[in-house]
Amino acid sequence: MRSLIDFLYRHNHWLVFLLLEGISLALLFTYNKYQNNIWLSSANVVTGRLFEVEQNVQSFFSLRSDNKNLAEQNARLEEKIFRLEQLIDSVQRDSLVAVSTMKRAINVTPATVVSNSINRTDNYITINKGTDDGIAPDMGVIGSQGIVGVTYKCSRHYTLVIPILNSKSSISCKVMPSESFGYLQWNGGDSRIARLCDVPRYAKVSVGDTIVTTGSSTFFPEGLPVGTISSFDPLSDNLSNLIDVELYTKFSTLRHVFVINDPDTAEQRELQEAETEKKK
Amino acid sequence: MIKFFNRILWFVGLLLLQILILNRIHWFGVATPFLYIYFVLTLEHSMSRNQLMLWAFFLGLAVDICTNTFGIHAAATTFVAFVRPSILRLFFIREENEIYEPGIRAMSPAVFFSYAFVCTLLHHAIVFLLGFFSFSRPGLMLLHIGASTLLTLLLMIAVELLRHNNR
Repeated sequence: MRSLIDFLYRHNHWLVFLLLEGISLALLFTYNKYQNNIWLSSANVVTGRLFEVEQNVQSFFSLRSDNKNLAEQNARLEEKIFRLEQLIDSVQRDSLVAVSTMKRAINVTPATVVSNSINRTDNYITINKGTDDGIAPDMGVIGSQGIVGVTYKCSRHYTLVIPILNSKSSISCKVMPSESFGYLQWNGGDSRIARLCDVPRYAKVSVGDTIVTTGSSTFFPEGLPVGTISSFDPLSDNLSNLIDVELYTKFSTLRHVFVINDPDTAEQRELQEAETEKKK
Repeated sequence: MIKFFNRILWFVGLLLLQILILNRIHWFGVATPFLYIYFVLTLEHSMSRNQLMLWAFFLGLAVDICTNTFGIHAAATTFVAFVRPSILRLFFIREENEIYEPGIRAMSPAVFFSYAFVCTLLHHAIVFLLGFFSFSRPGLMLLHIGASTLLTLLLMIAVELLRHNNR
């Protein structure tokens, strides 16, 4: 203690110096606006930096909880995606092509109609995409309004399509909203009208009902639009109705089509073929 | 006692000179002489640091009050008074108990002027640093410091020579 007092006494001019300078600077910053402003603003810069550093340190320590929050958010988003995908499945009919592309498993190849006919009993369509573009027989072809047909034979750059307007064509369809199954066929005549066969008599159908694909045909995903019922008559066998379907696809002006390649259907087809072979 | 009154006379005289005349000088827009620190430089060698600083502080404060620059001159002058003994020792070595006033008579002119130069430069540097209070225009500030130091030194030499010849 004594030595401390000695020390202070010996160096008391330092204390006086600091005191006087302190008074001077206090006066300076109190009574001079310019220096005062600069002092305050530079002090702000210093405190700003300090807070920034503090923020960085703090964010490091909150990483764990941030991670947890992000994981929870991820889970919520995944759930949402799942729900939306389901929703998309249910509204598929509204926007045919866009939705088809949205489904990841399905590849859609755009193609242009090279040659087309509608006035024969067995009409064929040729499109300008072939095996080089990943197209194989037995793939579904759709237009922008509705389904067109099924690929039949492929060369490297061209593909022959059997459209609905062909007696060989038989596509599994159902009537919405009653969900009754039938086969869409065409026996010549008007290119705008096809016939839905094998719909049971008891099925409730009415004019204006929508016809969509069932998904059991393996060519098309479920729910693609085909047409609407224009008229129906009970058949003489008293078992089924004869339903005339007005097709959505305008074959006379068909130009742009899309080939649907659903890898999953190949598996389905294999299974079904194996089953039919066993029966033989 | 006579010494004290003499000192007061110098104090007031230099203060009035500074306020009434020298502060109006603004040579080329950069040089303003602050001759009043001549008072601090020529205080007796035997004076303690604390006494030196008190005299210097009040002189600086007086200049500040009259020029509305609160604190700037007080701070600079106090600092000069604080480092004066060390600078003096740097240029001029004498026995401690001898009493003398720093000046041409006690020292050689060259020694006195180098001592005066260092002190004046320090003082002016602090005055302009506090006045500008930023390093955004260092060139201009250095020009102010250099030109003003030169002017102050010239005046100081004139005053010192006049005083010396009168005696």
